[in-house]
Amino acid sequence: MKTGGKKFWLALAAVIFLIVAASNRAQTPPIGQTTEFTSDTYFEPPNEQQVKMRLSGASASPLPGGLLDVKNLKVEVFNTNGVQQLQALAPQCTYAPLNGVASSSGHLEFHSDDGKFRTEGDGFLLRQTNGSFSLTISNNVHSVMEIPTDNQGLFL
Amino acid sequence: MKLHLFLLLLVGGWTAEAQTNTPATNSPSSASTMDITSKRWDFDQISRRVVYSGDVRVTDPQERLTCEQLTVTFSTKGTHPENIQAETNVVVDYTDAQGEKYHVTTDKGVYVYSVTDSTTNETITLTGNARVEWGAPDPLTGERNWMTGEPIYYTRINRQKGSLHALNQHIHINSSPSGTNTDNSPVKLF
Repeated sequence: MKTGGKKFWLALAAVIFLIVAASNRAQTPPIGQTTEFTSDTYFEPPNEQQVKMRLSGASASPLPGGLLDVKNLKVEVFNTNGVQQLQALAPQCTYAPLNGVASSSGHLEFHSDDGKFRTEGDGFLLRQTNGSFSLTISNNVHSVMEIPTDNQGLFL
Repeated sequence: MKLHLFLLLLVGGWTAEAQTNTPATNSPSSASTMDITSKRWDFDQISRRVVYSGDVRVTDPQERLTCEQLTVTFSTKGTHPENIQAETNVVVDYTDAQGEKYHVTTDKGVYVYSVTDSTTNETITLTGNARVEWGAPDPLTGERNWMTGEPIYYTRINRQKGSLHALNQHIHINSSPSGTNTDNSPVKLF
């Protein structure tokens, strides 16, 4: 009887597991949601094959007005050799594809690829214009930069 | 982003000239980091300009700068800033390698960097109530050595020792031994 009871509970646990697993699979993305959202901007000729700036996210959900709710935003800026120079990361933003504007009241981190400069803050507005961009952080800005050794003691 | 250069120009350049008999050696052996905090930050890729605004505070192990707006414009060639402006209630506190403390106040400080025919030119212009204080306070008056000018210029070429000059300059040097600079002819510095 004791063995039978154990089997019962094991079977019950298995059924619960299957139900939970099935319900998780049922949580499919809503209509219109995409994953690994990416938007590339290219250099002018003769480097038109090179990506100048890549704006990507883990997912993007449609919002009213043609906007997108982008999760895990990543903005990457490259030079003409394809080497990444700058990167910005944010957990979330609202992106207007037609205007090339991304904004959020949340946190944003911005850093150079060589790691010598990074800045972060809360609340940002990123504008893409003519293949370039401007970025504003509106609150609690904190930058840290490495001071090159050749900049020290220049006059003393 | 070589803001340290600006701070050293702004303060170190001053002190190097003001300290007539003390060969300061402000040369830390290892790289350090600089912190900048502000309320707002604007970066524009086309103009290559970064603007910190609102309660701007720049600190590193040797100096501290506060102002209301700090604008850094980078050259189209390389990563050296070609123009740095600190504006509104600019205050710089600096301690050199010998422990001497300097206090600079001005409405605006502008650093300009340019290269012409392989010659590097760097200038700093302090305008608007520019004043530099250094040395120990006078035991009787409590006043430190100070210097004012409108404007005050600092220039140097090819990273050699620069020159400092000012219009409408006023200089006060404590005559007591407590004063750092006991040179009684400070005008020759300029």
